[in-house]
Amino acid sequence: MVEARAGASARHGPRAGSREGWGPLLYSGLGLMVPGLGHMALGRRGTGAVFLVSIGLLFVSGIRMEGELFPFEAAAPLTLLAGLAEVGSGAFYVAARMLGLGTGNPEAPTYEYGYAFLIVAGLLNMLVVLDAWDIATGAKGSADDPASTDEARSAAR
Amino acid sequence: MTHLAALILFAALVSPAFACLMREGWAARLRFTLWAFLSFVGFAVGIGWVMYLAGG
Repeated sequence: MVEARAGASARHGPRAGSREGWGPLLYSGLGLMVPGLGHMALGRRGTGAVFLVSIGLLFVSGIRMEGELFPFEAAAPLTLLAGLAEVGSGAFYVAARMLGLGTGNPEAPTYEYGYAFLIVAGLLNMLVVLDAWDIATGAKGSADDPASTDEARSAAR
Repeated sequence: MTHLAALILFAALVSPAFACLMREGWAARLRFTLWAFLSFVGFAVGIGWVMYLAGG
């Protein structure tokens, strides 16, 4: 695993402008708070916007389908895991909690779809956070990466 | 909302996010988005037919 990671680094080399020290934590933290914000801060505005819209619409759709934001019940492990997954949506989760949304209606025909959308939104954002970490550490992307150079050029203007 | 509408909405929202995670370059991402969307919908409808026919 370590060798594979070292090999990947050697192949790509340190990414031009890669962030050291607290950088990866900062970008990952931004991404965890608002989906896509970490990528935007890294200069990948288009990619970040896709994440923000996709995850945001997944979350809003889940709420509109009367899905539930599950409580953290240690006595019910599956409920606890579902609740932890939903927290991954960051600002959307906090806003929904503050507005009293996501109480869930098990009698609604779309209840199961709703909480599935909410869980997927949170888990997807966790993958996005890991992606931001990889970009910030230079483990993903390279100077000749067409997406990153296009977006980095736009960000630099 | 019907099952099919929920499936199509889910596929339409998740596919571009996966494309941005797994591909670099907007052309490759667009191709992956279409492929993932059609795969989500196609496999779900296919499995639905299998269950319908197997279940009688």
